[in-house]
Amino acid sequence: MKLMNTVHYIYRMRYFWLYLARCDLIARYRRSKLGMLWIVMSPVLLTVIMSVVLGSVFKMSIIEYAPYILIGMVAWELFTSSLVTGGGTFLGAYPYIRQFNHPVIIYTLKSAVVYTANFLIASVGIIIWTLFLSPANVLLGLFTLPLTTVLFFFLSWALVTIAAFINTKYRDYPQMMSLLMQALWYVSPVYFQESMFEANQYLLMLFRYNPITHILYLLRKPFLYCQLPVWSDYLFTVGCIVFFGLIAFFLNKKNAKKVIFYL
Amino acid sequence: MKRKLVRKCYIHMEHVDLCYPSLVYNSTTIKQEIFSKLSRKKKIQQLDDVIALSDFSLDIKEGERVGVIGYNGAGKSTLLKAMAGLYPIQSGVIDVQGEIRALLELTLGFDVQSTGRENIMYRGLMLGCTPEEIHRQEEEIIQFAGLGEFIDYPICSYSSGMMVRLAFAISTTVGGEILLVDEVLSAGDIEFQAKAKERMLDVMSNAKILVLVLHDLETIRQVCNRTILLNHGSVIADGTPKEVIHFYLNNQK
Repeated sequence: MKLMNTVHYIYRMRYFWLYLARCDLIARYRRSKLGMLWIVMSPVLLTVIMSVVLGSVFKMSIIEYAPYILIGMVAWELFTSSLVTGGGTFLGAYPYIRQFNHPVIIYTLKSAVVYTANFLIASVGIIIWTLFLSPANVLLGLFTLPLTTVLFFFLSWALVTIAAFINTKYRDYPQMMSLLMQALWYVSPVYFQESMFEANQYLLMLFRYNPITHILYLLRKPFLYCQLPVWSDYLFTVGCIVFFGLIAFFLNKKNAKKVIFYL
Repeated sequence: MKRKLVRKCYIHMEHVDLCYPSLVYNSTTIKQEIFSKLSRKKKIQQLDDVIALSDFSLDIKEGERVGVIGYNGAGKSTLLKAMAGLYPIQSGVIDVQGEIRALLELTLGFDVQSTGRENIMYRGLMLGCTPEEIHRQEEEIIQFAGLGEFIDYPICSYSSGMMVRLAFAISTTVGGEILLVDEVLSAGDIEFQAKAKERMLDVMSNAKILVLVLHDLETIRQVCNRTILLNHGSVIADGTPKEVIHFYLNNQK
């Protein structure tokens, strides 16, 4: 199927994957008392715990440190969901894949929509926190959030697609990727601030040229520092989308029709 | 005067080769693959590709109700999946004109945690309908499936027969021009099978295509107007149900 045909087909099937995404979100919290409120509450509560612990270890002000952690946590959750949980996308969609001839990227699209929706709901916690801490930043944060969400969605779609193709063939993928993400976490400013890397020149370079630093700046600069992200932050993010998007494109081109044999 | 363009439905298969790639059966873990590359050892017990359809040619025209019969492993289910575009082919041509509705496996593309009613929506949307179209047809589907109050129970509480009733009701209500049905219908009870036969003949009154894989030769005789007999991925007999069934019964293994 040619690229434009695929895009048109995905648009024609929009009710299907949007409905699947909606049901996925509802099903996850079906028997829970607080329901989707957990998406907002859990990073906020975890942030309180983490900032008390890390704040007392690194002797930092909790008030200043907590929103930094919260933003890191909300964004990191999107990436780990995409790369680890997203790996099971084709395996979970096997009843559909074995029955209907839809392009398989419809299912990775559905997963990306679910993870991005989770991210957006969790962002409510960031907005509320900022509203209490530095209300002046909220407006700029809300102004930049739509574009950031769109970019995060495309990044998530590319990552889920890559993860799903690899995981369908290699079932030991989720364990390996969890470890890899843990390692990546230690060299990324998810919780750690730039000042913590200053002691080592190489670590500082790693911090500055780490795309995750810039991807997180898309949220941190407006919400924490009342600044617009700079062009290099967008460039790193778009660069990641293009890089992973191309890998996803070629994996799809080569393996889309073979997926059914592995299910 | 404007004339509505009516496209003819057909299935055209020419010299099709389809095999299940051995790499799936020989698939290994990342660790095994890395080590086998490093040591350059030949992998032990490598399986060969499984040939499911071999130099397969078939043409089905509008109005034909084709019964597919044959021994287990003859390639009947693979043939339906190839027609539905699910399996990639190694060589040849498959050209299908018309919208396909397929009932191929017992899981039938249901989400087992959701209710029957929710699955009507799932499946309808999956077949390319809009939510409004499905809401309009929902009652008709529920009535035909005859599941009563079970329609609001999760699918995981259904028997195989109930799942088939629902899937068949959806697939034959929401339209489509080519209906591909694998062995699944036999899971329904006698009453439902009679209703299903009636519905299949009714669907065909709109001059579309039905391809039915079934071991129940009596149903093939009643519903189909053409039958093909498969063996080792090739057609060995093609004709009226009476002729082919006679040939099949007189040439048992």
